[in-house]
Amino acid sequence: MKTGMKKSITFLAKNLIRLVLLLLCASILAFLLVSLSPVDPLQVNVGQAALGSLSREQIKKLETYWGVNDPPVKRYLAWAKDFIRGDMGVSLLYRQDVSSVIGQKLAHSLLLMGSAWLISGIVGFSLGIIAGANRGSFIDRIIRGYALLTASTPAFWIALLFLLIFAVWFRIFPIGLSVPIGVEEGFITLTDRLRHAILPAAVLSITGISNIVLHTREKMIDVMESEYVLFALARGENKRSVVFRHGLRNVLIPAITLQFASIGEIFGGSVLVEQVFSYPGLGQAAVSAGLGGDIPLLMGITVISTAIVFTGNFTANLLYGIIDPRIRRGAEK
Amino acid sequence: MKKSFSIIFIVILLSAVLNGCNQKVSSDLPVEKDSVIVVMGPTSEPVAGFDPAYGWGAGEHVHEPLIQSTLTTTTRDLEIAYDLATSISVSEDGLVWTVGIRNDVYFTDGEKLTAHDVAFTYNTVKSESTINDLTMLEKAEAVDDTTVKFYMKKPYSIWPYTMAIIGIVPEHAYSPDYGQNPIGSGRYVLKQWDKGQQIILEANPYYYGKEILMKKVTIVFMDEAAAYAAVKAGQVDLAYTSASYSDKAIDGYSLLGVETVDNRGISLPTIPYNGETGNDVTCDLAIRKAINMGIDRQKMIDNVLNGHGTPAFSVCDKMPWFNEDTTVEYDFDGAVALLDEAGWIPGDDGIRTRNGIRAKINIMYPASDSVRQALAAETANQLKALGIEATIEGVGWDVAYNRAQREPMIWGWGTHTPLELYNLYHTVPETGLARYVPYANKTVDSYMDQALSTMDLETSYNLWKKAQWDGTTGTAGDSAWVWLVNINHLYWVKDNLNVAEQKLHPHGQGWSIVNNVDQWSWK
Amino acid sequence: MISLIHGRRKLALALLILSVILITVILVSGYASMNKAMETDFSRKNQAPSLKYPFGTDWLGRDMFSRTLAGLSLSIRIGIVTAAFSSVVALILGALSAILGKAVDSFITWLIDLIMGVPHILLLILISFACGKGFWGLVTGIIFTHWMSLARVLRGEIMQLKQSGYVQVAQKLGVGRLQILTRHMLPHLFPQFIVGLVLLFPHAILHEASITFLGFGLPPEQPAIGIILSESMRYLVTGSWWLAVFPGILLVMVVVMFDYIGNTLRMLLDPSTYHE
Repeated sequence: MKTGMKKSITFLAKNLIRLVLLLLCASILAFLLVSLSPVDPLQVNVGQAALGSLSREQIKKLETYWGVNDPPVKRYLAWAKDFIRGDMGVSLLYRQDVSSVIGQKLAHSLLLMGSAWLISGIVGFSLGIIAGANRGSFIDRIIRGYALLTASTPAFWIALLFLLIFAVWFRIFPIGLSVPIGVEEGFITLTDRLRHAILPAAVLSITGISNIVLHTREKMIDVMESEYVLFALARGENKRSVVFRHGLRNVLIPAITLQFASIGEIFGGSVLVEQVFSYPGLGQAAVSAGLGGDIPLLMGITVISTAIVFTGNFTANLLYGIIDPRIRRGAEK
Repeated sequence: MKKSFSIIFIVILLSAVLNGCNQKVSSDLPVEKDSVIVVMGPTSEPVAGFDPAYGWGAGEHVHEPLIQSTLTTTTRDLEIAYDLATSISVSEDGLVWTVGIRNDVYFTDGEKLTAHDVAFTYNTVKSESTINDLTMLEKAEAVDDTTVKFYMKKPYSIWPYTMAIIGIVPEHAYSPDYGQNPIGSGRYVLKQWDKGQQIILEANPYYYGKEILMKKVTIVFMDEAAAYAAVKAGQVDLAYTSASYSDKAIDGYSLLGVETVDNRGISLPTIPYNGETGNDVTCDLAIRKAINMGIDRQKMIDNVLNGHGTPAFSVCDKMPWFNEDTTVEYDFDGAVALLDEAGWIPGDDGIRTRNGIRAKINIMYPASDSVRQALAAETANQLKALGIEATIEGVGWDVAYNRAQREPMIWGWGTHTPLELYNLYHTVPETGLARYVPYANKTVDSYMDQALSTMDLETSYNLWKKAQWDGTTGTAGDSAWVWLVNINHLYWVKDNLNVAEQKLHPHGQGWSIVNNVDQWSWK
Repeated sequence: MISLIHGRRKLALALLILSVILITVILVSGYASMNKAMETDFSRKNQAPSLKYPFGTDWLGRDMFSRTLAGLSLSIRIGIVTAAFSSVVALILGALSAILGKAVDSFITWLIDLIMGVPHILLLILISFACGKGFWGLVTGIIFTHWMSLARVLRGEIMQLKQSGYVQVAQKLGVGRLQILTRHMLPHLFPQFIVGLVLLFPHAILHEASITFLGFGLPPEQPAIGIILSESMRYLVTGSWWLAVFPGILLVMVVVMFDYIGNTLRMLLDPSTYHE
């Protein structure tokens, strides 16, 4: 027992260190990319628009951080040092601390991505099971066709269609933002927030579904062709109970693993979907930061979102590593 | 099990949806008759806060800073009127302005507004701000509680116009965070600010001036399409819009078009290409003049703006300092004759060449602006008929300034002070050329310098006019900028909303419309 | 049974050729319509689909049919070029990873993990930003974010091939590693490579559309599918549904066709990896 636990702990520690190292390298990569850019953050924001809203002190800081004064390594270390202390710099576009901008947007995004993640996971899993258990049937073909179609369709186009149908033609849902117009803070209900999040969440779920459907289906097919199942079916056991008792258990873990690994995709989808629905989340902030040359914000969002994705992958690896041998041992019994 | 799972899930989802649809949503709350909801574009949100030092009221787009008071204001005819000021006088040499301040004004935190606050504001704006160019101000000094003196570095006749847009902040309550929670003495108090979404203003109960009719103002920030949808859904009272969204009528709303000095024009480099700046085609005066003459501005307005605009011949049409002699009649044949005379011969494809140079230009426009894109496209189409080949290209602001030194670009300008003429046409010492496009005319420079140092506004107006055309030369003759149209600012207004009469809007369709929101009312 | 499979193969092959022809038609006709696609004419703006303008016209009076074709053609060209370069990068890095030993292998594997960890679209935005938000940023971004999975597959294949008999023999005979790679392994990798390459097209096209939709890479007057769709967003509320529906449907069709070509190729060339 002790050696088993020790093994798990080393496994955990190793992966954790890996996570931190990868995060570090991701921040270096991002910093490298933004430093290479010919886009002068001062010029972009000077324009026929707002340099006027920066204090001289802030401009100095901009110049030292992103100007050509110091060598890149020194600049990166300064940024990293601040970051670890929690100071992500000041956003050029929003004129607030990057950490508070990200905080606000993250809350909105989590609602969106979280619900889409859950829905696509549950629905995708169910569809995959149905398709796999009824391989070759009509319903299997429909589900497969649907998965293929959603994989080939850009998320933002589905979002556009939804916007067109539900917000423009049928006027069921609001056309954008995350809270209703002109209402004071105290009067905004949870229902309001949900209403504004439903369309983007629905679209995000639809686009994230294809992978898990196909993957679950394949695993289910493997299970259905396994000796145990064939034997059970031959014995005359009800197909449905076999699927439930044996199939579900074996497919659930790989599916959950895949779901955790799909967090990256969901984030990518959210960038596009938020744009269509003017939903003020992290994805939309990333686009504004990129277009507007807001380097501090871009760096902050990159690190945070990479951390989220890495955590997802990390959890997936963990699940695979820790739980998998137990299943194997269980099956052997 | 999985089946019941899905059923439960669908039931939950459905009930949430139905619940959301049936329940009285907060946007169904009864509308009070002294409140109004106004929609502006996302760029109108003062991201740096409501701080005059960082662009609030004064900045690229000027407007009245509702939360604070200003010393003067501009009237509908753009004359100067007094707000906080009781008297204004200037010394003989134009270097010292003495302004008397009212002594009955209080900030919303109860403290009295004195000349010390005024001096503090101007000195702070001068030292902190980078967009409010107060370099002509040496310093501001409070002589006593009700008198302030402005010491100028050089004579500056249009100082009262600057005083009209700088909101006065309280010295005792100012910090770098002032913009987030501003305290002022103006008509409104900031009640709530949902960043990126909306601002709620409430009437200042201690306001010293005219009675405020509209007690609550909600400003919502949405892009054009969303604003249009909000209007169609009847959720807002006034929304900005543009020509593309204005051709179909909407039930319960009418279209309000406000005349503006918000113009669009094309910059044309006047020197030959030298490797870095200049353009080999537009450097020819004949080409520039032909463009000015050969563009049918009315057709452009009808096509691109659906009729919502007026032709522009300068950056200051309709302003008191506009020289009417510079208007140009559309003369296609005249333009063609000019080009023929100058040696630009049409080839087989209709495009002219001269000395091996093809009359081909690339018209840039800011990629984020669809109206300018449309104007560029229409300009290109019309130039084709003249024998000039034009391509269009959307560019970002990070490269636009640099490239505009070599290639024509569609800009938007227009403000309530003649300083803009100076900014656009006067040469800058570093290059000996104007700032935005290579151009230099010594006579024009000297007229404008004189205009600034003349203390009598009337005389100065004449000098500004001379700079545009004095009979032999001027900015209009050089055509370094060909002005195309003044766009009207369009708004959808709910039928029973009485919007107070608007003065000419400057560049930027944002806060100008609510300059006098305190005088709006419901019928 | 065999004849059924055989018949299926024939059908699959026929559909494959049809898809290739269709895509080529779009590619060529789109390229030819580039000028027509940019022509503006305000007298015919915002028209619903009609016989003269089957996809309607947009707010500048441009014919949406030519504009869509031109946009698709552009997307296909960008997609093919970037996918091709990306697969070459995948081949090179996959091969290096498999034959140059543990250190290089670890480094490249770790690099793959790193790049896959940053959310794809965010990385595209970063790369586009690094290259000045223009066309080359777009191309570079897509090339350098798509090679990873194919590299992994090829690496696995090469590692397997390393164990095969004739490679061992060749090594014993002293044949250089590079020669082994090019003469013995590449021919075997060919089917995987081609399939991987073709299957990269739809991804590249979708990502190109996404990133231009967001506003990176190309200026608004260019007929790119992403730009067409992002512009359509502004006019949906005024009822111009045709601006979004037709270009989108055609884009999905093109992507599905490429997917079909890739999967059919896989079935034909490498039946062992083909799942039904």
